[in-house]
Amino acid sequence: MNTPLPQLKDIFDKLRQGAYITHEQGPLHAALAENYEGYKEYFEPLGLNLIRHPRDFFFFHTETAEGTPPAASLAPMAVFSFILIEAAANEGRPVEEYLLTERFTIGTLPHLKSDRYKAHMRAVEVDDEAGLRKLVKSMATKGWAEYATDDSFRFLRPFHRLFDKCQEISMAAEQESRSVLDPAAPKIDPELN
Amino acid sequence: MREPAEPMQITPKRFFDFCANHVPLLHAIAIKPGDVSESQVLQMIRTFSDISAEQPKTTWERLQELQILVPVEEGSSHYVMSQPLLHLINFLYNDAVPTSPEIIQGYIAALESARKRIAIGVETGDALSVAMATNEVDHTLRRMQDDLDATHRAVMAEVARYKADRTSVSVRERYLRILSLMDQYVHPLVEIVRVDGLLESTLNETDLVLRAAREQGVYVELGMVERNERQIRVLRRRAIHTLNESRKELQPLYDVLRRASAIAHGATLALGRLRQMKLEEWVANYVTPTTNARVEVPPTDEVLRRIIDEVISHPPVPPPTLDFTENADTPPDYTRLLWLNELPTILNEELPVKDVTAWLTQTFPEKGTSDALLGLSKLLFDPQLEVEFKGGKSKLYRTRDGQLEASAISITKQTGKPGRTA
Repeated sequence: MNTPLPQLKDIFDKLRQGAYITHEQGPLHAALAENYEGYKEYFEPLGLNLIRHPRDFFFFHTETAEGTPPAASLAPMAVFSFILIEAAANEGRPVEEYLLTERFTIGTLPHLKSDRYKAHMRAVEVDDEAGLRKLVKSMATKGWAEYATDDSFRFLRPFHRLFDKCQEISMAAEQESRSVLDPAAPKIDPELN
Repeated sequence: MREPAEPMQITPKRFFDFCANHVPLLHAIAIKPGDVSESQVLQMIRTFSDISAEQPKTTWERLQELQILVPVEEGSSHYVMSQPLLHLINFLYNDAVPTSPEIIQGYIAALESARKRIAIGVETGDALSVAMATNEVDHTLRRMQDDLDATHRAVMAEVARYKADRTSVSVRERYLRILSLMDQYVHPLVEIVRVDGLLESTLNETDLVLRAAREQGVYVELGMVERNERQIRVLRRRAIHTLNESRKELQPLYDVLRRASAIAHGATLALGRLRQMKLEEWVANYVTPTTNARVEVPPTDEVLRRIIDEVISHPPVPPPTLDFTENADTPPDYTRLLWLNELPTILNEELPVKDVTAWLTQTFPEKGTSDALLGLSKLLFDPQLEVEFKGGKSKLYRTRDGQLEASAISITKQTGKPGRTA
């Protein structure tokens, strides 16, 4: 290798655990942003695909991960996030803007405030505020959120992957219903003319 | 019985004075969809008018006298605001109703009909027909432009409402409102007024017959013909411009809301499926995967060099040799396994065997009862051998440490090999 890649060990240690590198990890993010291609080429022979998300954060993706189901430990985080997205949308809030700019506190979350949400959380074995707090902390470990000592937290850019997933689910469902109702129906084209 | 009072004459001053004093009330009535009953109007009067200055009943009577409210039909107790005033209020408040593509298509049909009449009039020298049709073209063009402008105003109003009021309605509802404006009005209208669309060809043809009327001197009032020609030029330019402006206003909201709505829809769908699916299945479908690399250390140049050095300097070691011969140290279970594995092959050389139990105990007299039973099971369940239970009287067979009692079992052949009968 000709040029040494700075912060290589720290970057690798973070990414290999399934975490994300965002602006919050200042020097690591700066090093990756500076020489993304260099790091990408370096990790490629190990079967690790370094991804730079359009929202400017980094993570590993492997082909083996593609065929393997995600870890069951991610289920509570997904349910937690889906509830928050649904609740924000039902309140008429601009979902992305709201979730990525607001600071939340455990006590004000909607998860334990309605029977339906409580049932969803119970399905992933979270049924009290302590459980929610633990969940948020584990999200912080993964780089989804940032947890503060005053029991508040905010979501970080990798949360966009959740938004992407939701969009993917919605599109798949619409595709499915369109093909069932009318296989020849034209797609909605937002680009006019 | 009292005679009905003569309707009081409506003078512009009385009309506009009343309107000036009741602006909020008139606007509230104008924006209420459908018709209104007397009680609803009285309720609105109490809400929007100064009832200390004028009794609600009096306001109600003035609304009727000034024909601001007219019954839906003769004798009906349901009222609507009169059309001219409704237009005036919409104009003043910059409110507008978008024009449907069907209405624009209706205008185009009217233009086409007038064009035909002008063409026939020019051909036959019928100046009156040409005059009437030209006048109709003038009205149609004006109304078409007004309606396209109204669509643009409606779009602007909806965009402004969206930006001003961001929390009162759900993302999905706002998305559907913007989507409906875009897909039901703006998009189809653009299709009609685009350069190669229906409107353009009709305008071209109308332009041609108007020019013919002017050049052939059939119609003496050239002012009207020229005005129509000017209007056509303006409409051609403005129609597409107006709609493109509408589209520019809507497009960013359309994109943002489309994504927001999809995100909310996806989250709701995923939560809904949580109850219907097993958790593992749900995780596989609805959870964003993360990658945990099994490599613990990044292979830096230094690490790679060290590993290569270790490989190079490692002394060669000969491969281990395995001893396949049995001796006193061979574990008895392993010996038994080897015997059982060989048993079908040994039997195969003896086929057909009429009594397999006799064959087994006589061929391997050193085997105990348990080994004999294992051997029998191995042979009876071997898929390659054709086994037959003969039945009949049971016999005794001696083993090294006991005896077996069984009826005869014969094995006649091995499957896939030429048959040999017992």
